[in-house]
Amino acid sequence: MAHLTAVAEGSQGRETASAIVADEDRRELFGALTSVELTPAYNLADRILNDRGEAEDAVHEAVLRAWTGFDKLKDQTLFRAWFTRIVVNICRDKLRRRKIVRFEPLGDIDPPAKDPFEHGLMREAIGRAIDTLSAEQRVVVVLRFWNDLPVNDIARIVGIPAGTVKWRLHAAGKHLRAALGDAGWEDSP
Amino acid sequence: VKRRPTQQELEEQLHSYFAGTPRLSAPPSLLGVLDQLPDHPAAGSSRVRYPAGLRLAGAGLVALAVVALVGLPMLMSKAPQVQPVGNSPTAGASAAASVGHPVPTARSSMSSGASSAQPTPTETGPSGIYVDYSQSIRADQSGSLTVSSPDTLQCTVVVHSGAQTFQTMTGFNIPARTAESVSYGVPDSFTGTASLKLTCAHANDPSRAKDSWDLPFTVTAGRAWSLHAAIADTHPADGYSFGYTSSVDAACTLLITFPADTVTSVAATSSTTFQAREGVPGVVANPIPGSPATGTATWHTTCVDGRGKTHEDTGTFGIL
Repeated sequence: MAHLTAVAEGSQGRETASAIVADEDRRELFGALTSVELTPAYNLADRILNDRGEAEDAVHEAVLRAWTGFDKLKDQTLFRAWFTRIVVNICRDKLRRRKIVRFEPLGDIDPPAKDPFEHGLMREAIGRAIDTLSAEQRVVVVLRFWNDLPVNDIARIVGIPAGTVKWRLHAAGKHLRAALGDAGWEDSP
Repeated sequence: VKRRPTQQELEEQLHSYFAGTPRLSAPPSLLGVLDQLPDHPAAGSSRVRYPAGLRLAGAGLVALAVVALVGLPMLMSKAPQVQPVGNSPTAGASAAASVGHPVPTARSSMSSGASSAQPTPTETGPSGIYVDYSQSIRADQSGSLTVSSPDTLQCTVVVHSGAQTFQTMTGFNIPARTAESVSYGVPDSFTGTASLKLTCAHANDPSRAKDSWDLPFTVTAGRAWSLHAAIADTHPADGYSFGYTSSVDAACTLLITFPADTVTSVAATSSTTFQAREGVPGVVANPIPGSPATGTATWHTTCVDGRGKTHEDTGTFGIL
């Protein structure tokens, strides 16, 4: 990154040559920082969007957006959080833009008590319930339970106060339990 | 009785749920995007704010202009080829289109598996209609075309191989300054070069002058559909569970036809829907609807994948 600050000195020709060298350095640095984030970002986007094609598109868009704004990132140690924030914002926008809200029937009749797929049934029910969360709730749920991030980190990534993160997690939990209840999952007596 | 988890248990279930989801590797198309970054975005003092692809192009063009002015001929080899253009409705569009610089939009380099997509330029057609478009084709032979324009457009999209038309989509309307996408696909059996023919007209143009663009893409192999299914615990009193793993994302309907009731001689059916995710095992639970019948039942799934293609699979299981 030293080249980036040296560009302003010297003749115009040297400036341009430096700029080219700086571009190569910038490209190399950006590639190194981004390449290790692609797989985590793709997984995160997939959990948020529940669609691999859209996740691929989201990360693709995030890379281009990050590249465009790379010079605004003054501290490279913050690259991961910065890039994650871009991915999350794009995913959230994609969720909001979905014209058709995916509606998953949750099933309405009890499975057999010794169903060999009982664990799978709960997974299935939770997966479908997650699909009914709002974009805002889904983002914080995925960051909390997929990325295992503490509330403060989620707040920084999403750009909202920690209290709002806690509230959204609480509301999401309430929504998920209600969805499970609607699907016939009952509280213990 | 299905016991609903408490709030605390729900958190554990959520951890468990996400821990059980498969870790995906970044597809090759994402790795490839790092090799296709536009030049020197720091030099891009472009004021153009729309569309995103155009902003990147503007950045690259400013850099190229600087290079040209200070006379570094060795860098001229990097200059893009000149392409014929028409009138451009915006300054930004003119800048990009007049040089014909390939605009790396969000999906311009999408490709995965055995399929590929072409880089996608921003173009102005002979009638002066300007579009910024990008396309992709995935390994499952489905793809997406995204189009935006400063103006409101009415478009049609035809997916064809030259000799054969695979899909025709009309009513693809593009509001001004809004990117709209449409999904498309080619048949499993198709390999080779196909094209999207995008035809657009200004929505408010009484002359209905149209421009067309042919956007080729290459498919070298498809991904076969498969559904691995299993029926367990099948007897009338308790119901059944239907376990499955699908090779592609798909919206499915499961129809089970039970043997004819021994009293009424009427065969009962049970239908339920489920969302299959690529490679993720799932379970559909439904009871057998009170039938005292015994014998062989039939299950039949009809799944529609992301490109609108229908897949069907069937099998039998015994009711004791």
